[in-house]
Amino acid sequence: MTRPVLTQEDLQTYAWQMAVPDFGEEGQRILKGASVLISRCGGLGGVVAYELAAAGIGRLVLAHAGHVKPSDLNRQILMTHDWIGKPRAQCAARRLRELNPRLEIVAVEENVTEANAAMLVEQSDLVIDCAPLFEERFLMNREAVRQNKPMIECAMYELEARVTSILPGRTPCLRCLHPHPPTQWRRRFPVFGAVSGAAGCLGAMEAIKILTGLGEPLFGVLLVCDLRDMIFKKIRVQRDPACQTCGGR
Amino acid sequence: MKITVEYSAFLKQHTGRAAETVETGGPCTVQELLRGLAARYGEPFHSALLDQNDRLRPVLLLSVNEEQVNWHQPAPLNDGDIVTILSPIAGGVISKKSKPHGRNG
Repeated sequence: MTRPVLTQEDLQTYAWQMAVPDFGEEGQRILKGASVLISRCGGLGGVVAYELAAAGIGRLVLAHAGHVKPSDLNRQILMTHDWIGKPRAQCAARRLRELNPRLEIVAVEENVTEANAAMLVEQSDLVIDCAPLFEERFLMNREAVRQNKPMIECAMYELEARVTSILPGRTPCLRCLHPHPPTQWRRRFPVFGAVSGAAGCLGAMEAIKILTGLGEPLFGVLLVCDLRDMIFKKIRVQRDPACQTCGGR
Repeated sequence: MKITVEYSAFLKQHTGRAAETVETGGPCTVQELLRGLAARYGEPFHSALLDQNDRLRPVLLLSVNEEQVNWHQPAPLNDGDIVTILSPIAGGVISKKSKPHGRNG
């Protein structure tokens, strides 16, 4: 990763966060030189993207197919009513540029597939997985492990949110935790935007920490949040030596 | 022994509660506890929790006192332990047509 020099505008914009101990101007330069892939920028990924854009990340690669629908608007904060029927990836890019015109955005109007996964991961320093389909999640997990890139897993359901960070060869990968896709995964499930947003904010903070070396990331730890009762717990998770994705590493 | 059992996502829907305290009546392993719960709740919880060989479905993640447990290694429980069973969750809404080029997120 390069560490570009900060401009006067950068110094003014990020002054408050550069006051955070162990982050400072050096942390800001790292963020400015970093490229992050976010798979799907809906209820989860949209919030991750927004927070990283606000924090001054240099480059975002956003992979999200389809067009904005009314039912997106309870949680997908990068989508707007006036953009219904238009491509989601472009809508997200437009909103992020309004917030941070210095941000470089690669808006990919596709979801992660076998055909594009390697290329999307290659151009990123870190991957953030916010996809609804386990097939997509497993693809990104495989590529992140193969290319030795850190990956952050964000998930939500109803009033539950979960986040963990994967460091290939050191922590469990997604396949270690869930060797097979669930058979019960439903087409539609209940969720509040505030729940996906909470998971997204936690994922964005993990990204900032991993990129800049700040604090203690959720490596080998699954953060489980039950927002119905505001119960947060950290479960220590294990690598699977027989994992079909990372077992030999 | 009193054991707290916590359920998440789909499992919670089957049990109708997020957590409960279970009186085991004597020493037991987490494997024995879960088989007992599967028998008590019956279907569809039983099939969601255990496979046809009465082993934990590999898609589920099991922990005791916030440490992941390997189903194939008998894990004796102690009074006051907290057992958490996590079913996998993801990141968005899946449309009927949602394949890699599909909708939502």
